[in-house]
Amino acid sequence: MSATLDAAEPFSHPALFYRGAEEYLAGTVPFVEEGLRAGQPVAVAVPGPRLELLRAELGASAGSVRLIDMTVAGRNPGRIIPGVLRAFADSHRDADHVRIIGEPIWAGRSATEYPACAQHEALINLAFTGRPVTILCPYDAIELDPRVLEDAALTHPTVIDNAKSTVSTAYDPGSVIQAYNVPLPRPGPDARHHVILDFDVDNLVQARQVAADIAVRAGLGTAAVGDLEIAVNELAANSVRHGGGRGTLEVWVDTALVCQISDAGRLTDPLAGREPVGLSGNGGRGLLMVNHIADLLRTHTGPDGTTIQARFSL
Amino acid sequence: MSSSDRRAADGPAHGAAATPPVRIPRHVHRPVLICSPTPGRVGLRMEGEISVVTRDTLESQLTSLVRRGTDVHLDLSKVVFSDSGGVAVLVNAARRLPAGKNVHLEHPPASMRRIMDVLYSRVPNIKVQS
Repeated sequence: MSATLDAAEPFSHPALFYRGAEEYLAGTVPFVEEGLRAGQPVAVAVPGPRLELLRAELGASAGSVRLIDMTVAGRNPGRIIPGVLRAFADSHRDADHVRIIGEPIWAGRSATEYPACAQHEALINLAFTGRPVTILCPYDAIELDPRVLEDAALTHPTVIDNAKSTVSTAYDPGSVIQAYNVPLPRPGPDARHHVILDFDVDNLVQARQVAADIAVRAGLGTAAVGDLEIAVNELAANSVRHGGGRGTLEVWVDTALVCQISDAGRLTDPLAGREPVGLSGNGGRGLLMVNHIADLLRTHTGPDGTTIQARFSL
Repeated sequence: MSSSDRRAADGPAHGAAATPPVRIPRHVHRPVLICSPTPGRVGLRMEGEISVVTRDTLESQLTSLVRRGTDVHLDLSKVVFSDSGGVAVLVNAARRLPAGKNVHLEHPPASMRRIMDVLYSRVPNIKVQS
């Protein structure tokens, strides 16, 4: 994708590099207040402490803003587009313009989560092209790795730094989607309960049960075990339907309970699993469900096949 | 990702697992879905599992019921599991009913409730009864 900006493009996606609370508020509060003055729907989805900072500064206007703790709603980066951004924008389709502050990357994001975060930021551009929406993404320029800020310049057409907005000449979201399409982490030396099961249509039930059995042994609660069964079932069913009819399930426990499904298929739609489900739509519904319930979904896809890892916190 | 864990930033850098994984033998068990009519009202009593294997059965049964244009009652108390494709079939059936008519899901399994809540919470004419 080129770095040229189409003046007629109604979607806008600036990154805001901030250093400290004062710059955070200076970069976000006017954005919210301008929106409210223009009668535009405004949502703020940022980590809890930042949310409180903004709530206090906004005072009475905070009541007119949809406030969302991104560490909960956006724990899995793969559900931020359908569950947070589009959920809000789509519920205000009549508005002239919708404003959202979305902070999906914070210092506590792990190295395992980060590739999915960067891909999410890149995919926002594809998901919102043509929509009258502005998504402002704050980046903590003190705490975050310099590489994260370099990626932000690739995934955002404009960057606001030191109160100055500039066109990002580096803008190239496609390169970020590709750069983080990498082999997924293998079980570490401390991994427990590592099992492998080959499945096809005749033992889909077993795949789900094997994963549930390990989840119970790892101490997950009833609701989490239920979610994990749903996730493994959806991913394995996708392999049966779209991934060559068969696949391999691996389950292990390290810092999380990990369910990995690999098959011979290839994911060609980068937004698969991130479009809100239409009442009649079919494509990506299973993957969307998994995005909503897993704590992290990572994918690696290419000519040799597709591997997907769903992680559930212990 | 903070500046401090830059070293760990790349994916598959871990060593081999300490204990080798256990390869589990395949256990063949194709799920079935048995649908029987419910005497005295328009609906079905279902037993088994709603999955990629049984979705077509569900769809054809529902299609003929929905044509009758009245409320549809589904007794799901003997259904142990449903996937999102199965729930989508129910949602599509509900959409084809005339205005004011509902699909009633009676005692659905936990998986069906969860999928309804997450993906289809705004379908007005599906009524869930536990």
